[in-house]
Amino acid sequence: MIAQRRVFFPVLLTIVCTLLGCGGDTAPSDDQRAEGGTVVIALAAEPATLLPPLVGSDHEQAIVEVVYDRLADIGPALGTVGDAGFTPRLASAWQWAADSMSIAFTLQPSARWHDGAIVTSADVRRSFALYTDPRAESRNAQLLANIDSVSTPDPQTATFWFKRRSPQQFYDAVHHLFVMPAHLLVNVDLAQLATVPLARSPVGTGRFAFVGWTSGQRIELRSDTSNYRGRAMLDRVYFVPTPDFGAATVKLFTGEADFFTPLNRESLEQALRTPSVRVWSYPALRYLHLAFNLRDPANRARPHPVLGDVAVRRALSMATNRERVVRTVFDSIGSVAIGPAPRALLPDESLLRPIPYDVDGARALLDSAGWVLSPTDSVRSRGGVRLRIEVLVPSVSLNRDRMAVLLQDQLRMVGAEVVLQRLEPNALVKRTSKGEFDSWMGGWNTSPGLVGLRQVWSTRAIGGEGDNTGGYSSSTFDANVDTALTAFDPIVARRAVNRAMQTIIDDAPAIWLVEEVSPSGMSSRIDPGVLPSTGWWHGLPDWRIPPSRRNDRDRAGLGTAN
Amino acid sequence: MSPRLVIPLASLVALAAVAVAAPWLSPFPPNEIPAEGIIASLAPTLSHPFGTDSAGRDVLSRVLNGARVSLGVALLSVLLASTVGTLYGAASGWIGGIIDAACMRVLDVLMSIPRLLVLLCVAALWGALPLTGIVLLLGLTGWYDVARLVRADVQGLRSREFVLAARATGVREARILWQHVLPHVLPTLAVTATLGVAQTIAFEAGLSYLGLGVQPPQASWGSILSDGTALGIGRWWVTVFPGLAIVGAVLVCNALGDALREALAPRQVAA
Amino acid sequence: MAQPRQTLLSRVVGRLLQAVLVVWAATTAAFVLLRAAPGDPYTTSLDGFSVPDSTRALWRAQRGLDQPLPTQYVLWLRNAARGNLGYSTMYKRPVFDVLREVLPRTLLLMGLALGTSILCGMAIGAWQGTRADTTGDQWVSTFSMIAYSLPEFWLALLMLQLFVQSLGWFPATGIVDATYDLMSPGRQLLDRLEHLALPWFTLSLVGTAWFARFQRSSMIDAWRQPHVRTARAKGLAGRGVRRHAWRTSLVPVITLFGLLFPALLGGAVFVERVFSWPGMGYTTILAVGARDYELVTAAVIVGSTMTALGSLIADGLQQLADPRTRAS
Repeated sequence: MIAQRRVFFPVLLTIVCTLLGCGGDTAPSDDQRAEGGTVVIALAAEPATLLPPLVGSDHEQAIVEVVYDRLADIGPALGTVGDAGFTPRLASAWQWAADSMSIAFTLQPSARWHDGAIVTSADVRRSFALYTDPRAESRNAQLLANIDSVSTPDPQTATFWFKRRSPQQFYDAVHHLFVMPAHLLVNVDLAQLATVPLARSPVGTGRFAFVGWTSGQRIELRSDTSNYRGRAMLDRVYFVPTPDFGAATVKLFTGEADFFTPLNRESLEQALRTPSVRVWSYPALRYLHLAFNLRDPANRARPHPVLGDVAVRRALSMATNRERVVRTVFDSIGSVAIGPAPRALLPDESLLRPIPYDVDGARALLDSAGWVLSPTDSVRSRGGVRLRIEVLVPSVSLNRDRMAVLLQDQLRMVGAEVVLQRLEPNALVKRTSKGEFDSWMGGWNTSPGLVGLRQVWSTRAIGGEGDNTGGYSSSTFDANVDTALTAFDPIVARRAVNRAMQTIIDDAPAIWLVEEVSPSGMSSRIDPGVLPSTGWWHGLPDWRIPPSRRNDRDRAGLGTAN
Repeated sequence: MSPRLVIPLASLVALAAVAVAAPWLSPFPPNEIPAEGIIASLAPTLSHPFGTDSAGRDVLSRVLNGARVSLGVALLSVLLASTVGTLYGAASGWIGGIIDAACMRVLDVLMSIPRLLVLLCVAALWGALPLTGIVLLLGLTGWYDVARLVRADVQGLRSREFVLAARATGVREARILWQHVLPHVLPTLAVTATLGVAQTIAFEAGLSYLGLGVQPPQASWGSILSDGTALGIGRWWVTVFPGLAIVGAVLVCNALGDALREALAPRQVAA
Repeated sequence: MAQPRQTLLSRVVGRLLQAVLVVWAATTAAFVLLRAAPGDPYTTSLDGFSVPDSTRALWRAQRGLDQPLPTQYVLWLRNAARGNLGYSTMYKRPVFDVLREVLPRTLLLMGLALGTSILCGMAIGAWQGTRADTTGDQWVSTFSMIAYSLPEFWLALLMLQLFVQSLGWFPATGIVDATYDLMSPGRQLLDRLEHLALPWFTLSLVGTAWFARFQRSSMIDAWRQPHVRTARAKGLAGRGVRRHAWRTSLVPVITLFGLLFPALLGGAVFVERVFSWPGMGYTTILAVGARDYELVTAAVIVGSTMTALGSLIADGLQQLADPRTRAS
């Protein structure tokens, strides 16, 4: 049903074509170089900016990560303690100070910016300044909060000075900061950082160099042939913004685009049936949940009349057949979430005990907590208050909508009335941030290092400054998370993580639903290696197209100057 | 009555009947996402003549119930628009003079603001609009044509003999307008309203397709289309059948409006 | 002859003033409505980590979103007069720059569609008008009515499904292919045409049907006009009579041109959405979802300006076509 090639109009246009001389691609028909190929990637949205401190979403991150470099890259195990597993990038080596309050990074001597200038430590210092200045509006600023300053003893050395020792200090310094060219960031008005030319014409040190950006149409990258790490395997990559999901999948299946993610269940099935498309999955660091509001929306000082009671929350969790929900909505592209962190980031997830699915147990628990059914009402009540919950659902996500509907059905079985309210994302966020909700169907993207636990679920995060909109507060949880993030002994840290996770699972401030696996569709002629959890784009410079599998697009432009 | 009038009229009545009877005609619940047992994205079969959509909902049932929403919204909003437009146009045409000129200028200004852009703004402003909101919105942006036509009619009628006679016998102005003049406006109104229903059905479908109209779980034809295409364009039955429903309804109304216009228009007098 | 010229001048001035009034009214309404919307650009994205309220307050202050409404409005008007239409929070660029890129694409599409609609529609309608009530006319009328009843977005979807997905004859989205820069000039032109074809066709079909209908009825009216009937009775050459009748039928059709413009604009929005054509309509839809106030406001202004200009041109053409209205 899907056509693989484009068929041109008959006769008339062929004549026009010949007259206009459009047979002009003088590409050699056999190209046996190991490197080569042109890949077109369909992005879910057009990037707003390509300046690293201002990057806010995956589609921007993808481009920024291949054009710019970090000082060092996290290893595949995603360990964030100390510097174990990290591979050198722009920093060829690093030296810890004896008191661990500073780390001196030695820069690669052969590293050059794409415009030819030499990389110096001044670039690192300037980049740090841009990331952390509040006027620059960088979302990463708070992740670099532990770093006091960056000094430059000589042009090849950048020293990071920390405020406190922490197990993650190396990760902090290295992971959240891309090094930008200082010589292109001179006299920049920080309040108008987004208007700097570098934001639309990035110049980095990565294995891909930026070529051009035609707004609304495409962003072109080419392989940096004189890169200190060696050129990228592909010749050229085009990023084409395609916000329409349906159109993007069409492009993938007709071969107009070589890569697109994420695929949903339907297009996944189609992809599996299409020989020119291969499906690659990578576990995204993301979970979805039905979050409860533990505080009364009318008065945040009081507990929620229904959900403030842990028995109710546990009972609702017990009444939910999460396996079935995930299987119905996500099928093979999701697994049941265990808690507020994806499995890839949990050291001992097999030791954690989730709340079991037990409908009778749920009913019993509700009975014993005083929520009883009356002969006239199928909804339980206690002291005149009905067991009624409003669930806010973002109107843009069909998956969450479907999950919400299934949950509504399941919770009805134990005498809870669930009302669904679909809202546009902005409106939904407004209500949740003000605490004016019972529950909402949402989720979180997480980063390595489990900082998300503190950011979203700690007591400190309640109130205007943080994301703990449900008001969950447990001193046990807080203490264990703090230990987990600050203990240097990995065994102590692991135990603390386990205890924190078990505490929050038992307290049930949310029903933990899904960890999505993000399947992506890729042209089967491409050999990408492995797609890591930190992002499918991570290995883009190493994507290869073997000469035998190259097509016209790969060979296009070989006759023209590079 | 010519067949050109009867056929569309009968079709419209049939359509309305189907819309009203939809809950009883639907083989499956239209808006509930089935928990289990039904395969999603099924091609048309005997049990699912229009197939199922990506969430497993029977498309035929959705289209039938969508008729209620689409037609209902269109009819109500056109009713509102006709009322507002008639009042505005009649008042303006009847009073005449500077007020009339001013009213017409205001109308010109209002007409120059593209309706879709206004609707985009407002629909985004209030996010998920309830049905009443959509009806209000469509009605309050669709009365301009009615106003203009009614005003023209009323102006023409203002100087007719029966009006002058009524005035001479001391009947109050408002009463003349209400009882004697407005009934003459009804034919124009009928034509405009019918064509307006056609236009509104299509417009509301487009809005719902963009996600700014009728919200789930309620479904109008437009939102069924949007559901169907949001997750991949491969399933033709989710696009074709609701679309045919829209086209059918719009076509019937257009045909009826045209026929009415021909039937009610004053005959051209041969020179 | 001073008198008619003065009247014409005053008419033109009056129309221009009206156009300005239109733009102002549209702008004000859009501004007020948008500012009252729930949420603003600095609310968190749905799943990301937030930044502290204090930082967000700083951003709001920078953008002037914390000022009272009247102050914001005055500031905005003053900027607009200087050509500064604000800053797009979605694209992180001045709105003017964004519009400068996307508006020509929409104008191209609308222009082509309008041209095709007028030419084809008038041809078909005129042909029908001279053969009113024959079988041929009835068939064409039926097709015309069907085409006229098709919602543009549905037609676009069908085109996409049929010609792109099933047959693969045309590309799915966009203006040009990703590898456009690497193509020879001839191939580039072909590429552009390939991408234009479906949106152009979709947008033109409904417009053609519209024009055909109106041209037909006004052609019929003109055909029955006394002077035309006299000409026919006198046995004047067929083509001459037809052309004469056509001229007379032009006037109502020109008014249609003024009405078609806003309709075409609306249609363009849908077609752009389905084909992901990065024009003004599509950008506006994205901006609405992202609460990009300034961009949406600017889009409303631009849309209203275009409509006002459309009716201005229509009025002007009407003056030219029908001498009788000139001296009114």
